[in-house]
Amino acid sequence: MIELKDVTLKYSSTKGIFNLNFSVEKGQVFGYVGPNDAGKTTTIRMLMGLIRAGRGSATIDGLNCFSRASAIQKNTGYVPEDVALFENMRVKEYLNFVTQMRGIFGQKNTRLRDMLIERFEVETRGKIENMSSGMKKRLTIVTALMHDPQTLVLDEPTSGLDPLMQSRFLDLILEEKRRGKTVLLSTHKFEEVERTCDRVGVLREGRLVENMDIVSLRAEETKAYLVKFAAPPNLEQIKKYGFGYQQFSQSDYEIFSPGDRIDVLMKVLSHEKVLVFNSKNQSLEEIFQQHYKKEIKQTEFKNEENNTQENEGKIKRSERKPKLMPKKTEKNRTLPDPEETVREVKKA
Amino acid sequence: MSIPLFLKNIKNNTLLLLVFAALMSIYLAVIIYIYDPNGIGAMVDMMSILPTKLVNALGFGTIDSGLTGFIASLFYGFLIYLFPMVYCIILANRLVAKWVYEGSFTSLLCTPNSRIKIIVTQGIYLLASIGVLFTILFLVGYGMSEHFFPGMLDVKVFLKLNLGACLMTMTIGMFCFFFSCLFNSTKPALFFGALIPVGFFILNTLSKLSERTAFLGKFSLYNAFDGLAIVTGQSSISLISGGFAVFIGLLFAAAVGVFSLKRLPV
Repeated sequence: MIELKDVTLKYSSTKGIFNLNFSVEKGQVFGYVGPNDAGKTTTIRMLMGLIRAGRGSATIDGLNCFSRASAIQKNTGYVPEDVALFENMRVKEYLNFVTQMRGIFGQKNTRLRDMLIERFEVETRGKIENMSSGMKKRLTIVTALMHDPQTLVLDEPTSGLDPLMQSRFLDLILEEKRRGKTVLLSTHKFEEVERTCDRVGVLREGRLVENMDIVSLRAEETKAYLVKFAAPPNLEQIKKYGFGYQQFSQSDYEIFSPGDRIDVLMKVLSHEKVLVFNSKNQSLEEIFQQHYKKEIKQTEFKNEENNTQENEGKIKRSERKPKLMPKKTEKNRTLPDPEETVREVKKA
Repeated sequence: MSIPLFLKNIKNNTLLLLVFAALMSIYLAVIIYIYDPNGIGAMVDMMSILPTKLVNALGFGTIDSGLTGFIASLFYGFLIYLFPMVYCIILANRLVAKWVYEGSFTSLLCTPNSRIKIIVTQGIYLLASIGVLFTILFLVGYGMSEHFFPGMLDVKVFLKLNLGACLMTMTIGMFCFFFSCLFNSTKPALFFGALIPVGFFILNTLSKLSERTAFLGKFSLYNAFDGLAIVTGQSSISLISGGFAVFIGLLFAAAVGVFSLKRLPV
């Protein structure tokens, strides 16, 4: 389990990480996203004991990340963002060296290591300096995982990998998750978060601005569908079941549905003659896009929030899951609901 | 200490050690070879052509007539400062700052070994390799002397000479090592690592120029080691060794302390 409590590590008054609080439970994959320079790598290097936190406590399995770094490393696999290996070593030699540095001498069980080498098609002949950067990354993945660690700290592990290897790596993460590993995954790729993570934290300018559950996020997510009807549809019926819509022409509509009510929408639409039914998928990427835009400051957040609340009445939401409502209003106090903002944009 | 890392250091730096050992051995061998037990006069004649001040500055001011003294003044008076100094600067940089700068040090720290253990291993390698360098020099000097002038070398004094020079080099090495641990980039590590020994060297050379500059020698570490004084028995090797050992210990502790707390670069 990875735990951060009020961790602050300043490079300057604006650079660094500030009052970070989050935890990654056993068997959980935590997606750590945010724009460049937000402090993701700093957090990870702090967790790996490479830099010391100025304030607060960071622990992995209850061990302090700086003072007990070597004990933590026994059971941790770390894939750094920038791969730096001993260039003049041969691949086999390097793998043996790392194994020995882990305190394992002689011909021990190399089954897991061989399996990883095979899985990621790592070229084991030749020197490291002659390898491509993608191959070096694959080698790093093998070294990070070959001792079957309980905790995985991955800093943009798939950058530089080809799509096939990316996919294999994500499969591996899912397998490891099923085996009860604790995984912190820093990434820019939302597909990766969608595919592997249970929770996602968004870091911006050193502060955690979102920390939420992917499952509930999915339920709250609004799906949009572009529908072409053969005849004017029964709009009353659509409204009655609580779906929003926007009319483009006599027969072209965009219909909005909460992520957990798609089945109801299907039933409603089954009474109509539908010619075209296209999903206008709203990915996590769109939801988080706002956090990547630097110019959105806290004040603008507030303005948007007010607009959202004004507009809320216009969109029929009477059938929303009632239990979500209080949570929503509570959230709006601090930050705008991403879903609402997107809806705003769409309406505009 | 981490054995696999120590072995890796040996593999990485043996060539460097061999180059320096070979260079210094050749010098030492040639110096022993040109020794003429019957006529030290030729050498003194040659020196007299040069300005006295220059000869003094080079440390060749007094040439002892015995073989041990001859070696002490010609080899352990001047060359012994330069070659090991360059070796220390290069090696200390290779052991820490270079890997930190390149980022490969991270892969060492991402194994279950503490920073202290790893940096102590690097420091021990530095000291051990300097030890090996001087062992080679001792053996070459002893072998050459016995081959050309059997029985003329005072082995005990020659051993003391090497011990003193070895500990002095280790101290210089630890200065370089400290800066290598302190900085995250090779440039300042090399700059300060070179500045200190070169500064000592210049002060030492200047102090020998005249009476009026003699006080500068007090600020130079190299002044503590005087080969000829060891041969004549004027200075006590145990005192010199003890002093150097204290310096080595302090610098090593400082290097480990600085490294174990610092922020490593991305």
